[in-house]
Amino acid sequence: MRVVIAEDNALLREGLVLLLRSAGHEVVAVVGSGPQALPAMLEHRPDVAVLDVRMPPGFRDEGLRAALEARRNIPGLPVLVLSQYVEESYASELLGGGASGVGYLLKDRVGRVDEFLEALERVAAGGTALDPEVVSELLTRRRDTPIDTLTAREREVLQLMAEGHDNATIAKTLVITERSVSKHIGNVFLKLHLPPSDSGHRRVLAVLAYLNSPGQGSS
Amino acid sequence: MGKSLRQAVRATVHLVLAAVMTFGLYIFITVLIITAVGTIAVAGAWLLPETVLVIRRIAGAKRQMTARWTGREIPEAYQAIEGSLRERLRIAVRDPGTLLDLRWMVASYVYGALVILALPLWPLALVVDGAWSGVLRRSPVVLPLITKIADLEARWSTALLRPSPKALLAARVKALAATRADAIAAHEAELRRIERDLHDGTQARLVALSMRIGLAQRAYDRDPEGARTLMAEAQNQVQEALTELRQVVRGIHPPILTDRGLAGAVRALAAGSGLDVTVEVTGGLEEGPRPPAAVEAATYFAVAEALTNAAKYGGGRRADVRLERLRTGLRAVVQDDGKGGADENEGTGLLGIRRRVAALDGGVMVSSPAGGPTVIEVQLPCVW
Repeated sequence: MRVVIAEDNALLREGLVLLLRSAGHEVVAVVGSGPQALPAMLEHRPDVAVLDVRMPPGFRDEGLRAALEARRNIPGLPVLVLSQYVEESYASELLGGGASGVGYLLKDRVGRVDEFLEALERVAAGGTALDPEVVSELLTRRRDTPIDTLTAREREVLQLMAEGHDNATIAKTLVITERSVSKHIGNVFLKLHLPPSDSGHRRVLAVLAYLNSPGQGSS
Repeated sequence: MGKSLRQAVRATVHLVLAAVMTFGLYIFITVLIITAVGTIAVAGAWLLPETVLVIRRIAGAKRQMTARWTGREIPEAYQAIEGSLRERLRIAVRDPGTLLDLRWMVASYVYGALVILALPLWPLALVVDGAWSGVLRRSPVVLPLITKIADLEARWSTALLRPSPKALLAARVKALAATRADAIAAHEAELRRIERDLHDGTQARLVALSMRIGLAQRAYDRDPEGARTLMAEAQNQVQEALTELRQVVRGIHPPILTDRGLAGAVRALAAGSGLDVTVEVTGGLEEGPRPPAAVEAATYFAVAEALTNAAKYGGGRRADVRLERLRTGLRAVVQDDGKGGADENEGTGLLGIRRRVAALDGGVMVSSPAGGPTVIEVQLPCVW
């Protein structure tokens, strides 16, 4: 894959390059600030862009804004945003333009190299990769909604589905059969009043759209 | 005789200046009346606050003049005249200080020319005291009268120009509100700095470290040599993360302050400053109870900043630090033998110290004439 990296911390930048190259990916551009990130993405049109949220010049959310702007220019451009802390509103903004090819992970996850690379590939393929902590926050935000009627297992399935995993991975993680995963997903959709849908990623999108919409009753 | 004579000359100078000011006021009153009329006619409303400001300056000059004679400061307590014209007018009229100044002005109409009494005493003094003490060697009797008149003038001025306790209290509340706002701002800036240090430093290092370990794990079977290199790099990053964490902690609250107290911590600063520094501790600071932690920390950072500046810009080779326990607080003085001319507005270090100290109701004085030396004095109040 061809990757653009935007990260201002030299240590992390170098680490990311090392990590991606070791996995056989091609790093086509490495930039260290918000204003440089957008042109780099527009010029190289990478298979996926990895961006740090907080970068110069303002050290606020330059990376996030560059990602959003790039996706406005190139619809569906896969972006994986890395953040030092979870900010639910950042996830909402990213998902606001459609959850296809969007990732939002805590930087800590980069250390789990295999999982990180898997998430990166998922995003590049048009999938979704949301940090478990982000999903948890989205789920808690929607308290007092039909989510409360879910069983514990159904919540686990919903959590993993919202993180962007497919049925096989969910089954493996929870040590259950894929058939029971499908059954749980069916129940989740029923309880959340979502139209049933069988294709893998379409369901993820439906769930994220649901989680990302303003809550009913309270938020 | 000589002393009395000098004293009488000083008294006369004081009285002459007072009279000159009074004559100036005679003219100024005319301006005042014009302003009042203008204000009533609305057209000149903007003149009033300006005039009040001028009155304040004149009264301020008089306070200084009187303080020079008596040796005792006369406090000032005015409300700041600012905001829209309407507000400025309101403050100018409502401020008790305005009334106070006007009262003094009117009174000084009468007593401001006391010098008229003093001047005729001079020929008398020359004749009487000249014979009395010059020839008969007795202590002079007329010359001290001149001093007495100046004393009288100063006492009246002091009484008339001293703000009411209420106005003083109001000014104190204002000042406290300002330093409190500064304290909050300083606190916030400090928190932001710590967050930035942790975010960009320690946290980033730990992520990079985690990345190396992850890569090493992947390489473990395929490429043991590569994995070993990655683990060595990871170890270096742990060391660096620890070093950085130590620096951050030191910036929050120096651990040595906890361990050794202020005197010990300042001695450690001195030893590590690169200059030849002597530390003098007086007033039983080391034996007695310790100052509050905030006072200790502010003093420590002020001394650290002063020593850093001395080493960086002063160009001298040595510095003296004096820590002194006062009855009502703590004083730290840092003096170097550098070339002076320190500009306080350059760099934010000293400004940060000023804020930190002001937040604790203390003060920082900087003296740095060209050619040196630079002296920085920090005084912080605290209860022992």
